[in-house]
Amino acid sequence: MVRPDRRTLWLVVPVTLALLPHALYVPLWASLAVALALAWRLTPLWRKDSLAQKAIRILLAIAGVIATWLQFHTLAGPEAGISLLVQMVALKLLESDRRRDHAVAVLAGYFLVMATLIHHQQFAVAAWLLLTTAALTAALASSQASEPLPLGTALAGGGSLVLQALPLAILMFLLFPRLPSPMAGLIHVETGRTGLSDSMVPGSVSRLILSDEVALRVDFADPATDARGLYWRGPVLADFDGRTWRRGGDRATLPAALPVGRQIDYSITLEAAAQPWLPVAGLTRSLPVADARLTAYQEWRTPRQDHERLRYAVQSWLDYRLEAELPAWQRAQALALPAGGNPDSRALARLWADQSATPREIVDRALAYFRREPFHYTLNPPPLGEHGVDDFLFLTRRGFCEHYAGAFTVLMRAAGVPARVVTGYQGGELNPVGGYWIVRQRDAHAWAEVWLAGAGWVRVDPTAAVAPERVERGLAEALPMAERPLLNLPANWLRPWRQGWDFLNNGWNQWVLGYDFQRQQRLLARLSPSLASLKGMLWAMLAGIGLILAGLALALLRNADDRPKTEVERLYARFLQGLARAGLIKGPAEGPLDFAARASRGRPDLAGQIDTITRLYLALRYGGGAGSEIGKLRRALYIFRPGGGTASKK
Amino acid sequence: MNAHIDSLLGRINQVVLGKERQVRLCLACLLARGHLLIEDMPGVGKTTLAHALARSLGLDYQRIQFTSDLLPADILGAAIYERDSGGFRFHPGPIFAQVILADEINRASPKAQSALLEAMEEGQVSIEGETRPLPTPFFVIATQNPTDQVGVFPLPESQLDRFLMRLSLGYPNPAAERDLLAGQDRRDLLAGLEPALAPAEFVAMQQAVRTVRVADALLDYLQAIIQASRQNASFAEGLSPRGGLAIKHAAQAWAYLTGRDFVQPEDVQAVLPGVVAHRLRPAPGITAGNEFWAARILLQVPIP
Repeated sequence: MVRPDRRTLWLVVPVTLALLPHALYVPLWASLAVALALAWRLTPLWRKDSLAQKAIRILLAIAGVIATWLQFHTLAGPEAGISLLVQMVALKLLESDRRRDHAVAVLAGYFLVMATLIHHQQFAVAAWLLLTTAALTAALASSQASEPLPLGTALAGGGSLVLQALPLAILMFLLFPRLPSPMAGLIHVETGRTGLSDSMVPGSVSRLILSDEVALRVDFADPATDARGLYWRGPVLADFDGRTWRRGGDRATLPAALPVGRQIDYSITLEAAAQPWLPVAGLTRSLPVADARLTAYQEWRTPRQDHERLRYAVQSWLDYRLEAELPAWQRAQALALPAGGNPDSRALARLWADQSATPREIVDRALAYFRREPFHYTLNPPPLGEHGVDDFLFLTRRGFCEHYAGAFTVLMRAAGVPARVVTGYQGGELNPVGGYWIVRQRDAHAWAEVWLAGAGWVRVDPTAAVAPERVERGLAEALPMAERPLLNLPANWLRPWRQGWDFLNNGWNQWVLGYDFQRQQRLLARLSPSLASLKGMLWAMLAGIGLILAGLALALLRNADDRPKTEVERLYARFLQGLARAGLIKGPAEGPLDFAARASRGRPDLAGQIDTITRLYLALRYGGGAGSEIGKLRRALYIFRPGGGTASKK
Repeated sequence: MNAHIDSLLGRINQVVLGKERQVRLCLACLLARGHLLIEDMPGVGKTTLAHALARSLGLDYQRIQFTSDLLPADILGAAIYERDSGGFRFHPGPIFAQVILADEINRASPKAQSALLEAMEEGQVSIEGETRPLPTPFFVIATQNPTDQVGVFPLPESQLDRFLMRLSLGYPNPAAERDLLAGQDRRDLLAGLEPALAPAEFVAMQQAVRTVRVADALLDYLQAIIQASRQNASFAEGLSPRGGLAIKHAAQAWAYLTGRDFVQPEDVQAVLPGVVAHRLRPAPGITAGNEFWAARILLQVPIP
């Protein structure tokens, strides 16, 4: 195959870089069509002037429009529009050959770069787009030259242009007035695909476990706090139908909660998710999230069914008394069991109830049972039959946290102790780079809550009885060796890199993506109260743009006629500057030696130095001066201090 | 080597008084293997200078007085029938010498001028179908009268270009003039002038001149000058590439004469008027004869 020429590569490669991120979400057929078009452009089969190929291009364009219409039932809107755009850009490349076409292709590439931001705003994507922009700019520069530029030259040019634009971009980012609400509808906010669910069947949490996604990040006010002992409370599941646990009905009442003892301060950055729950540790009385509300089950949630990335500062009490008096509806709910089913478990629970004096004793007996009998903690539990709890407790005895929490709660209810299942996260990993904790979906957990007279709702984690490592050291430690690869944990040597990367992403999320109307107002108000107004922002922006452009213009003027200067030239320029300050200015056409003679007459005190420096300069610049001489020149200049001299004394 | 040069210059300066700079330029011209044209009014010592140069360099020389009836054969030589041998035998003309003093070159007809100038360019002569090489080194030191005098055939630009330098001497300064008036007859002095160099030494010096370093920075300067000559409105046309090379070679020789092994901007400036003046045609409106003044414009080109 003939290698495509440089001009073609300069056209196709940068635009391909801009097209690539769109392949993540445009329909697969569109990506394939684009890939085929690009490949066609690069092969010698492609002919610009072939009539047959022109016809094919026209047919492709029509087919693309029809296919897009069939897929989206519209051609407008970000989804359909971008799908159509990528196809048309690829087709444009198929008919591009002239300089003007190159410019159009590059402009389309810039547009693709911006369109990428509609769907992706992560740090890695931004870095990619910055590189793509530099490559596109390099392509533009190359297309304007009579010959395609060498790769290094063009990239250096493109990169330097992008770098020069960067101060402007940062200024606009900081000062461009932000809308109180983000461009709703246009910017597609990514939501997590996984998250805590309102219901739990055996297996639902363990599916979550396989996800490496970050659920939330926690920054403790007291850096010594160990997040691994904390339970991040999510939805409370109180309704059981024999197989599935579900949330109980919502009530308008608020839980009666009384904080006791230790309080911790921290802030949580919750990743966007398709669920309303706002996990917190322990008892939290207020949450600074718009519209956040507390349910009757001491859960925090948003009113909508999904949320964007949220950041909130929290005060929590790790010890508390929840519902010292159990409301009747809660008692009824927390004791309800479906009629029939799991007879053996009920029998066992009744036996414990008969043998125990207090509910607390029943709880202890149940935990002792889990501890004593050969239960196993595993991600691959065997399937359970009709009487799921019975099968689990007496036959399979292999399960995951949802099995233990569910079975324990059923046992408690059968023994007459009010109990319910709580789901959320437990554990986490410290990111030593940023000093914050990362809780991933993998750390999802289910535990139980029992109501004891005098103590209120008390957390009981039956999983801890079976596999204490789960609670103390994390999931991976608790699993049997053979199952650990299922988690896709990163190799140990990769960990510092992952942590560094997470730190970057977190910073990006907090400071760039999280820079919204409120933050802008707060930042500007802190700088100067007058800045925070629309007028202030606009004036500051205009002034800043003017300053930056003036700075760039000055830098350009200074270097207008200059090729890059060698060190010898720079040193000599310094020598001339020094003498110029002393009133001795070299004419542009004056030879160095002639000038040295004149300068020595003007400043006889410096004659020796002027002579030495001029000789070294001439030898280095025009003779084949040895490397050691530049050191001498440097030293000579170091001690050369013409000062104001005679000229200023006048 | 420096001592040689100093004694050489010293000897010539004893004969040609008060013209140290011109003498040095002449020597630089010859060291750069260029031909020299000395232009001035009659009687300012052109011939004496040419004579002194040839004698002190220790080269064999011939003098040709150009007149309006001079024929090419008078310069090149001719095949003459000899009765004794019954055949033609070539009698070489005065051109077969290392140094030719072509006096008052612009008095001769263009035909005779061409014969000399072709020999200068080729380093050989073709006579009656036979090519004969000229000796090496081979120089022409030509003198000419100002072209506005009566009875002259001005050399065309294309032929002026063959001379590396054109110099003019001018009146001597009062002190030199006094010495001249008071001192010995120049002709006697010339007759007593001893060669300061062996011929091989002079050739070695010429070779050394070509090794004098010309750095990139200096080439930048040269190019700036050439560009300026082509862009400046004072000139009808700019310097040819040959003109550029001429500056470079002359500057190398000038640097060599000061005992340096590299060229610096001052060397270029020193030789510039002599090398470029006769190659630049002033634009219409600039008075003819002001070529030296025009060349000064190029001295204003900034040194990069």
